[in-house]
Amino acid sequence: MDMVVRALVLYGFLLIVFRIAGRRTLAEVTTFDLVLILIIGEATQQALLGQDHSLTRAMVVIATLVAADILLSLIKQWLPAMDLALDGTPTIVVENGVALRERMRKARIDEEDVLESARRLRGVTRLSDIRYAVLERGGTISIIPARTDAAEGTVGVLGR
Amino acid sequence: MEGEIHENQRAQRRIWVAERIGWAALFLLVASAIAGVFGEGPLSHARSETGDGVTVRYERTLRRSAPSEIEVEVSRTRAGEDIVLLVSQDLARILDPARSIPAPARTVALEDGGLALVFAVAPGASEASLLLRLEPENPAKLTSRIAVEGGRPLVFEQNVLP
Repeated sequence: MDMVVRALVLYGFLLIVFRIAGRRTLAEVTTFDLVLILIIGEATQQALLGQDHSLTRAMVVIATLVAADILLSLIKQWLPAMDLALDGTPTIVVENGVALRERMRKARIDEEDVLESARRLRGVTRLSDIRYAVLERGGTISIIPARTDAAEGTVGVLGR
Repeated sequence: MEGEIHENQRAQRRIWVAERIGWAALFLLVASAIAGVFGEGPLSHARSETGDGVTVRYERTLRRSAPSEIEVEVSRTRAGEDIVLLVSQDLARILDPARSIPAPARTVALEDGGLALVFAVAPGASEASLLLRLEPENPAKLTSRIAVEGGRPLVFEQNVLP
């Protein structure tokens, strides 16, 4: 009983903490983020296992965490409000080459983040070549290039 | 599906069904953990009495290298006399006398591999509560026996999970 309760309490706590932290925080893992994740894991381990190093406990704790995750995914499917509360909603941050500053500021991303995704995903180097940049629920930025596609333009230049 | 997408919906459907059966098993596992199948729950807590003033509370299920305890309540002690608790070999092997409360004043090895634990009791006290700490090191099925010297023994099974 105690094992299950502890695992559920920590699951709930971590869920809330990472929800509050916002989607940008751990979406792009920097070296420091990685260290932070390791430290969080270390701190969690003590609370979950205590002095009990039995195989049984490890399995019960893992089963509890995974079951909680499955249950939550089912709840999100049944209750769209829950889904919205836990996963948020996609946000357009660049529309037709124009950065939507207020949204970007609130989401704690800047033009550089958008341009980085644009370069990496689409080979687009200018904000004006972006039709839509969308901050997705998972914290990644999707890029939809403008109709006069940068890729086509490149082919044109090379073809000449 | 045309093109290079090699879809196999029949197999995928079977996999989805298997997944859901797995979820049920997982939820069942968690429910049994809450109930105490793996220790620390209603199904694991047990209480036993000798009828002559000794009550023992213990866990039916223990886990390897996980601390546990046995609570022994002795009423009608003879005032001023030490309590001598005789424990069987199985129990003696997993007992941690130093961390027990109170720690026994003396531990005496018995012929059968068990231990006699001698606890000092305050003069005038007519009852005492002893907390024996356990830490099993190996998975096993134990037959634990506890008796206050001169009294009836309590015998109970304890299962140590890996």
